[in-house]
Amino acid sequence: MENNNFLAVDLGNSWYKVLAADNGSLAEYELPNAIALFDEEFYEKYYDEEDVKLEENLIVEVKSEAISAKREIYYAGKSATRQRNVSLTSFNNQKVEEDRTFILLFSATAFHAIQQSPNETDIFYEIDQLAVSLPTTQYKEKKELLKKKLKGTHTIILHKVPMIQEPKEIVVKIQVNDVIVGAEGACAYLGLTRDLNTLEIKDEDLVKDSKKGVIIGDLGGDSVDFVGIKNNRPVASIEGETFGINLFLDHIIKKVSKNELFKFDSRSELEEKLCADVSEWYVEPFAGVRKDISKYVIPQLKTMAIKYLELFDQIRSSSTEIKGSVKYIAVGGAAKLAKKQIQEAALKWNQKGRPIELMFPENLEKLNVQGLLILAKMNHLKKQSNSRQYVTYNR
Amino acid sequence: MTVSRTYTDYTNKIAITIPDSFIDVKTGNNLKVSAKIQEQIEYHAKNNSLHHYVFSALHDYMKPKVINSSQNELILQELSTIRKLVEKGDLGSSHPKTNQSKRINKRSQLEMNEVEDVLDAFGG
Repeated sequence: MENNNFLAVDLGNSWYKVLAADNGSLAEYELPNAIALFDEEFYEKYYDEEDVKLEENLIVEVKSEAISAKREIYYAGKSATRQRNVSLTSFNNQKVEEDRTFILLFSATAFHAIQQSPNETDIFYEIDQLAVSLPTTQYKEKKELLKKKLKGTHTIILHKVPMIQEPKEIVVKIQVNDVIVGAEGACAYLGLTRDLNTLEIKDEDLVKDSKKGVIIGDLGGDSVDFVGIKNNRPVASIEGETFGINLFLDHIIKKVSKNELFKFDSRSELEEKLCADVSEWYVEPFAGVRKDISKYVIPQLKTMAIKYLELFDQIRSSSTEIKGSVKYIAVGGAAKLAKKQIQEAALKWNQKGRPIELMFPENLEKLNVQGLLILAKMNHLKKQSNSRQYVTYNR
Repeated sequence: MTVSRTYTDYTNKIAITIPDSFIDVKTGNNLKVSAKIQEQIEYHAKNNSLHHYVFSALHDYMKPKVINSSQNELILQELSTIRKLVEKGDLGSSHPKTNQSKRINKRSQLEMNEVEDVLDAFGG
């Protein structure tokens, strides 16, 4: 296990979350789900290159069977959000069919590979086991196609990397040996109950609760995935809903732009503001002019919270298998952002006589990617045991 | 039946009445209040430390039992085995090692079933 490279990527609609375990060491990255076509003519150099973080300035070109536009150069992640032609996820987007999925996934991987081999410009990076996620609606039909597209060798050319003198480029060859796909939401349960290193169960109580039933509501950017867990296994009958925080973020951006004359570069810029303390909830359309935006933010988060709980209630009464569930767990980045509003909405449900007592676990935005890493390690263990009669799995 | 006596610690507002006998709540047996108990309560009432005495008794009563002598013997036996091994200088000898590797194999097998179960349910 210790001599292998594992990569887990939560392909979120607003953020990509990455956990990379190489030879036993663990690295963690996040990048906004945003790309923009690179146009040399409009490329503005940063004033002070040393001030720019690597992930904020990725200009990449991807050569891979997985994508159709092989000759294009893109801004990826944070650098893309600052571009005028930035492309964010669309409602009900199909992750497996879109180039953006692979451009971002490979960019993040290449970025990680650079961290492993600094000062090199020609890097070969091998991943023994990759784990990625899909929303429950796309999981069943698309997982095989996703695996097929990801397996094999891909070349990523990083055209712009701060701290490295132009015209030097970095070429990263990524080899993916195997892929496992997990469903968003269900993976969060794995992340909650199992230890990332030993893979053993760390939350016996939750596993016990799952005998009666546990419902997880994974609230993300463009989808909310409900997963019923019974007897420590997901109950398949629950489909994802196309509903998430992006719609509400777009509303806020529109209103702030119209009323306060301030344009957010991207959803992620607004999200980062919302993640910070309420005292940060203002914009500065002109130097020295502070405009409070909470009057646009709070009603939107409230509306989202109410809808989230309505869906929770629908789900729990729709399936006989999980009707007797004893625990409701909120996960996903959007649930973290709107925690207060969700808790307030839950009080109203209580008054209606249909209480939904939600639990907000620690690191709830990272549970899916943690579950994916657990899946990757487990799949690797299984393959090892198949090839050898005796497993000597040293922890 | 004799009249029960009440002891008071006015400083700490504690009063305790001593009956002739009491029921041991652990066993249900009816026991006589011994002279020793009586003497102790008298002393602590005078000393204004009645509450400390009661809490000490409760603490002692609720504390889980310490290892009994047979377990002690086991530990001593283990220690003497370790000492023999150290004196012989063959700590890494075959006996404990094979034992251990057997155990690991057993556990790995168990883990493999669990692993396959999780993969089957959560991955594809």
